[in-house]
Amino acid sequence: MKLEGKRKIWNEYQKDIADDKYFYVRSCIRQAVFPGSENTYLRIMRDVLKKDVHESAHHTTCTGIGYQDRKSVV
Amino acid sequence: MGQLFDKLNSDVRFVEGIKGCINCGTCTAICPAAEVYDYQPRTIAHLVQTRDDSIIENLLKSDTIWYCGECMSCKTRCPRNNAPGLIIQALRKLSIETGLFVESEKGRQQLALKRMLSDTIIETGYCVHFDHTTLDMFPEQGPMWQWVQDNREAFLPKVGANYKGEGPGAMRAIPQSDIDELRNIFEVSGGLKWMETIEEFSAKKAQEMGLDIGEGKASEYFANIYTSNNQAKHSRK
Repeated sequence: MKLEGKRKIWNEYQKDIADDKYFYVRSCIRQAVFPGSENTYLRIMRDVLKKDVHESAHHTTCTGIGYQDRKSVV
Repeated sequence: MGQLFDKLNSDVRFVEGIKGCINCGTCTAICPAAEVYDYQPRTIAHLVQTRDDSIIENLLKSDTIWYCGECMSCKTRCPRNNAPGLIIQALRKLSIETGLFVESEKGRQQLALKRMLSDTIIETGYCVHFDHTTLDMFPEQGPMWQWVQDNREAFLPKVGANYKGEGPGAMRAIPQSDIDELRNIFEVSGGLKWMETIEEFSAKKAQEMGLDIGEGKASEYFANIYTSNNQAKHSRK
């Protein structure tokens, strides 16, 4: 496929991503089976990259469930 | 047109998913599932286009509709703006509603998903909870995981987790008010009813197979569906 055609096809799927002030969307599986990964990721985001990341104690089941569990419950 | 086709056609995902397939096979060419499974999204689009109830019934009873990972790569490439992944979603919903999901190995695994994910959501607010990741269910974690599980109280704070604590953080306790709200969402949206439907049809199938349906993971039927994998049948030929 020509590169120009490829760009055209994917053009409508492009999206803008903010460069700061994030809401942290958690992953249940990541928390459960990689217990230290969230803390490490947030430390890099905040301490190294100096990004503003908001967490919520009220955040329940992860976004993955909206995708994966549609098979069984939604 | 038949009764099953009419039901499919009442699902907005089906209407969005099939506008007219020209059988070009582009979706199959890009499909990751087609790389490993005996699966072609092109065939799915072709079969539902027949509007033939006996063909649709066979799909609803088949392993085929459970191979798709719903990545939607097919949607990005279809020259006619079809989305076989959306057709699959509508077929899966109908397969559960009609109870035909229990007629295939992959379909029967819906009970495992329901008991391992959906029930956990209602109970804990998480779809997968650390306390449930026991080695017998997650052997891929390796023998070190047993040590992590046995020493969780000492280990988890050291890696920065807020295990069953208040406030934000990994593995925090979800406030009961939030779990109650989540349950309400499942009730209003029909999710709880759907979970009951999976249990009902699975119980009938377990009886037919001579297996105890039990509760949770303590069940002959659960063990059967969790471990059954006819690789020769499922693999790409």
